[in-house]
Amino acid sequence: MNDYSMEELMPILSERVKKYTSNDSTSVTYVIARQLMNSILYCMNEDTTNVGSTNEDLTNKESKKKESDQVRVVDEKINAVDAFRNGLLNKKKKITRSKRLFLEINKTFNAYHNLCYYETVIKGMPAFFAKYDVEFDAGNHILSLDYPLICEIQDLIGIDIIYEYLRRIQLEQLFLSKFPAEWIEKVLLGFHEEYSDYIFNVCKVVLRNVLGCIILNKPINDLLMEDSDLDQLLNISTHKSQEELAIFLASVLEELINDKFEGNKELLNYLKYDMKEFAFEYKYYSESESLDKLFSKTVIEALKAEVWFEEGITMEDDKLRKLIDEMKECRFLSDKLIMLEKEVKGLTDLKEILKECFYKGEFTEVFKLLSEQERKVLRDEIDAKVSTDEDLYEWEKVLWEL
Amino acid sequence: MFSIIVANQQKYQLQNLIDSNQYTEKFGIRLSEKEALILLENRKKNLREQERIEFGEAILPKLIYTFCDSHYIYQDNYVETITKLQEIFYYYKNESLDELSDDELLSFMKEHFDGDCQGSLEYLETTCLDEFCNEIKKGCRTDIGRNQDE
Repeated sequence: MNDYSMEELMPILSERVKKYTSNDSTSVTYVIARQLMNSILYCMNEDTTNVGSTNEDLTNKESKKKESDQVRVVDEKINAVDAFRNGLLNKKKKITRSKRLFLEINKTFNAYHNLCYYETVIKGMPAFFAKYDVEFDAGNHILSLDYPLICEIQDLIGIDIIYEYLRRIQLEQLFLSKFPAEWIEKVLLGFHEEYSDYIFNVCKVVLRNVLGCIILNKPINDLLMEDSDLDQLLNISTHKSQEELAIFLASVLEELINDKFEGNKELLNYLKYDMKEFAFEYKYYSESESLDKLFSKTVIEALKAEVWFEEGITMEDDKLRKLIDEMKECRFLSDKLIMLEKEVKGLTDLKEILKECFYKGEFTEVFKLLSEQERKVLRDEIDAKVSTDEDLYEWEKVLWEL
Repeated sequence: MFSIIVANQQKYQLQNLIDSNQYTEKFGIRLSEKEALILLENRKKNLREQERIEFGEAILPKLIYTFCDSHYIYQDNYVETITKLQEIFYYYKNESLDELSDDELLSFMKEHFDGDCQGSLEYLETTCLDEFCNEIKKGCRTDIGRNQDE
């Protein structure tokens, strides 16, 4: 940003105060004046904020091209008022681009039953777009962006951080989308049995397991590790220093990207950021002979056999009604499953929700969440209805035919 | 930073206050340059104390034009009263959580100053405005400011 003196900035602040108070007040508090001034400086700083140490490499040619339609602020000294107006216009354009990007991500987004992932992206982003105040508080991005990325964003605020966050989420989703959701969920379950409530990066866990498979020459869809696999991985790391491991892992990653992602450079550059940390952890867990903390071992079926829905536990009526209404508004099955897992604890409620919130093609996905014992309880009830010639609900027909 | 801004506005504000004499003279009151400077000094002090910053037309001229026709203001208490009214104004801008526009607050102050306060600044400050702002904070007033019914 060009340096502007206070004399040049004050008329802009004065104009913003007028607009902020709708010309109803000649004065504002220091807090508001500071907020407005920060917002002005943030908009004027448009071009330079995009270049951070970790963000620079991620900005590929394509996104550079997208930025080229922006009004330039830094090339030559323009007056402060114009610099602010151009900056504000650029921020508004970036909001539009971010909204478009979010809609694109939303079409295929999968949180893999991780609550933090779902809440940050699917619930957080619409709330951000509804509340973000580019006119008077442009540097405040409101969200705490709790879901961690493989490569955290540094030095960005306002709409810039949101746009960059979404771009990185899109890259991570692109990576994950190449692997069947069921396998990913197994890997995550192997990583932590309560991974749904855990705050961690899904992509990072999957990436490590995928690379592990490639190192072992195992088919990638055979994601989970056996004890013998871990021994082999341990053997590999003992012959390499941490630096050598990082180079080795980066080459394995490159092989994967060329093979499965048509050499997508942006994705490669992004995922490469994880290789140093991966190498460190790989070495560390090898030395402590606990590689199972890094690579998910075969999921113990007993975990899935836990009784999750119990007979007799019911929600209060209005709470259940509210949940049903919310689930009806969900566009994606994955979102509904997350809510089901989080909120519903009783079979009676589950039956009510199956009746109202799920459709024919979706029932089997719900049944997959149930243990054999739970399915048996439901089947027994259906058998009883069939024997008395009672009509069955859609979901009951599907379960009965399974 | 904000104190520099306030200082820079002084010259322009002084001229504005002197100009207001043309109007207030018909009510028998006027400000000397020295008195105008006292008012401006107090403005700076009040703004600093209330942690507020003022832009463009300051509230002082508006305050003068609103109150100059009051029966309770005459030449002997003119500067003193405007000084206190200015202090009250900024204080209650904060106390009303900026829910009130300048005009709404001035109009309320004038109505009560001339009405039930009978020129008592203390009653205006500690009773009328205090109650009014408490109602605003509780969200009871739907007839003013941002809470106004559509």
